[in-house]
Amino acid sequence: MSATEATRARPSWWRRRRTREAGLAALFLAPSVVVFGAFFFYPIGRIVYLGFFQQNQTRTRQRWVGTEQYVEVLTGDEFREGLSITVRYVLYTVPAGLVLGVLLAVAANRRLRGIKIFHTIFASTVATSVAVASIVWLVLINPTVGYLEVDWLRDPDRALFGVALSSIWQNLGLTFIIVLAGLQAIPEEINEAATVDGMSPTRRFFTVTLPMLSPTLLFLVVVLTVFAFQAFAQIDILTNGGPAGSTETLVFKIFQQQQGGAVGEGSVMAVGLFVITFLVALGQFLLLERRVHYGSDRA
Amino acid sequence: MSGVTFDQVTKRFGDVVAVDSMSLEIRDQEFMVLLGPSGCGKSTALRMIAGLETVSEGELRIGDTTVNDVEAKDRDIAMVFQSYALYPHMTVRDNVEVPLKTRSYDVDGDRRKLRKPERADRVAEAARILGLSDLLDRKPGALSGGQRQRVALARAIVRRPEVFLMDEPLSNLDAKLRAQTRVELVELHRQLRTTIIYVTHDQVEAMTMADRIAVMEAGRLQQVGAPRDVYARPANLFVARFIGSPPMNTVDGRVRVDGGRAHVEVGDGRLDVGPRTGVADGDAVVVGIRPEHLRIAEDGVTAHVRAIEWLGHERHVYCDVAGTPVIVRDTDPGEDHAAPGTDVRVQAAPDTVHLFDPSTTERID
Ligand SMILES: Nc1ncnc2c1ncn2[C@@H]1O[C@H](COP(=O)(O)OP(=O)(O)O)[C@@H](O)[C@H]1O
Ligand SMILES: [Mg+2]
Repeated sequence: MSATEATRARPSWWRRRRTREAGLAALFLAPSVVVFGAFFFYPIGRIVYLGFFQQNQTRTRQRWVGTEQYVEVLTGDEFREGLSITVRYVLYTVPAGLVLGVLLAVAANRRLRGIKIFHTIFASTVATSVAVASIVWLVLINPTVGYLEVDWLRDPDRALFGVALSSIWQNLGLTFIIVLAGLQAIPEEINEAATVDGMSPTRRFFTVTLPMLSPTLLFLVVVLTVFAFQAFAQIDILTNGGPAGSTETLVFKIFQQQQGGAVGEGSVMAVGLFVITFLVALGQFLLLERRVHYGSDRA
Repeated sequence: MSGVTFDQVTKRFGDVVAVDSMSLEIRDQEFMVLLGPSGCGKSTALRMIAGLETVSEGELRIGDTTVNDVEAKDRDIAMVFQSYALYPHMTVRDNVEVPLKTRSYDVDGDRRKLRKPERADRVAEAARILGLSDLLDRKPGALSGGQRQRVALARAIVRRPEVFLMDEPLSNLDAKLRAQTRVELVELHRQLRTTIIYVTHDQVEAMTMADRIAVMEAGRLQQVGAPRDVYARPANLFVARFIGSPPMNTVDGRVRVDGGRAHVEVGDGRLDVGPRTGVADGDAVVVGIRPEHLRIAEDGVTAHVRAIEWLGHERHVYCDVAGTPVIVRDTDPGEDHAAPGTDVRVQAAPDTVHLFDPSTTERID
C-alpha cells in the first residue's frame, strides 16, 4: 500500500480530527507568534530592509542603494574598529566575570551562620539598574571624589578596561546567583563521597564540582557574551564612547549613526552585529556542549 | 584491617544530642550492624567514623589510632552511601578508579601512588568481583539501581580499606534485589575479611547479615549482641518490641511466687514462668511473649479473638488480652475453635516468657 493510498484509506473522522488538531496547535502557537513577530522578526526584517537604503539628514527621503551599502559598511574601517573594541570588551568581561562569580559562589556556598546576608550582598547588583550602577561606579573611580584614585575613564588606553570592570561588577550578582544555584544542586553525598575517596578540596573542585557545574557555566558563557556584545548604557554613561572613540563598541556606533541620521548604515551594522552575536553564541554551544555533562546520578 | 572503638562518644548538633555517650567495640573483621528507628543516631555514628562529622566528646579509634582529629580524606575507610553518590560525569571505570588516584598504597612494603597499569588491574579485579566487567565504559545514568549499587560497592572495595561503612545501602532497591544483595554482601564480607559497619533500620537486614547487632534508640546504645542473642534475650522493652516480626507481645502482669516457682497473673489467668531470681511476690511486671511462642490451649489466659489472617504457611490470630492487643503466630494450626468474636485461652512455655521492669523497662531474669 503506497502512502497516498494509506492516506485515502483513512476514515473521514481521522482527517477531521487532524484539521481540528492543527487549528488547536495554531491557537496555542498564536501568542508567541504574535510576540516574536512584533518584537523580533518584524524589527529584524525591517532593519535588513533599511540597510538597502540611504537616507538624507532629516530622514525625509531615502534612496535605494542595494547590497552595495552592506559591502561598504561591513568591510569598512568603522565597522572593523567597532568590532575590535567589542571583542576586546567581551574578552575583558566574560572570563573574568565568570571566574569571579564562581569563586564568590564557592566561597559563599557553605553552611555558616549569617551566610545568607553575604548571599544577599553578593547578589545585590541584580536588583540594581545599569544606569544606577554606572553612576555609582563613576563616583567610585572619580579622580577627585572617588575611593579609587585612578583616571582610567579619561585615558584612551584604559577607558575600555574601566568600563569593563564596571560591567564585571554589575554582572557579578547574576553570575553569583546562577553559579550558587548550580552548586547547591550538587548532592551533598557526592561531595562527601569525594572527601571519603580522599580528594582534597582543590582536587574535588576540579574533578567533581566543575564538571557537574558545566551546564551552568555553558549557559553563563553564552549569556555573558551576548550581554557584552549588547552593552550600551554603561558605555553611554561612563565614557560616551570616548575618550578618542576608544570605547565605541558596535552597539555604540550603531546608536550614534541612528542619531546622526545614517539610518541605513546603522542598520547594516546592526545586522552585522546580530549575525556575529548569533554565530558566536552558536559556536560556543557547539564547541562547549561536547564537554558539558547534563546527566544525573539520581534514578 | 582493624576494629573501631567508640569510647563514651557523644555528638551534639546544637541542642540535639544525636549520639549520647556511646561505648562500643567493633572487632576486626566483624560485620557489625547499627540498627534502630529513623533519627536514632545511626548515621551520625557512622559519619563520625568516616570523619564527616566531628566528635563532640569522647574518643573514637580506628585500630589503635585515635581519629578524633584525623581528616576524613586521611582515614583508611570506604563508605557506601544510601544514594550511592556516584560521580555522574564519570564512567564506571573512572568512578571506581577515583580512590586509587587520590591516595598512596602499600605495594610490596613500599608506600607510594599506584601506577596506571596497577590501577587498571585493581579496577578490573573489583569489577570482576561485583560483576561489572561489561559495564565499565557506561556512565551511572545508563545503569539500573542495582548496578549503581554495585558500582558504589566496587568503588569501596577497590581501596581494600581497613573498614567499610555502609549507610542503608539497600534501601533504594526493590524487595527481590534487596534479598539477593543481602546474601551477596555476606559472601563479599567472607571473601574480603574486612570490618564492615552497616547502618539500617531494617531488622531483617540486621538479623540476616550481622555478626553482631548494636541496637540504638534516641542516641543511646540499647544492646549489643549476636542476632540470636538479641532476639532470644532482649535487654529491655525497646529491643524486645523493635526486633521480631510481628513484634513481641507485651502485657502488664503481676508476679506470684509460691513454692519456688513463679507465675504471672495476666488478666484472669496465670502463666507459669519457671524459677526466677529477679522477682518477688507481688511485683508488677511487663510480660513479653513472642507471637510464635504463644499457642491456643485448654488453659492459660483468656484472649478475645478479633481477627485471623491466613498467610498460607501460617496464620496470625489477633486478640485482646486484658485490654491489650496480642498476636498469636500459629505455624501449625490444628483443629481449634478460634473464630473472630469468640474467646480462647492462650498459653506459653515458661522459658519463652520474658519479664521486664515496668519503670526501668530493663529485662528481669
Ligand atoms: N547536620 C545535622 N544538623 C542538625 N541535626 C542533625 C544533623 N544530622 C543529624 N541530626 C539529628 O541527629 C539525630 C540523629 O540523626 P541520624 O544520625 O541521621 O539518624 P538515623 O540515621 O538513625 O536516622 C536526628 O535527630 C537528626 O535530626
Ligand atoms: Mg540515617
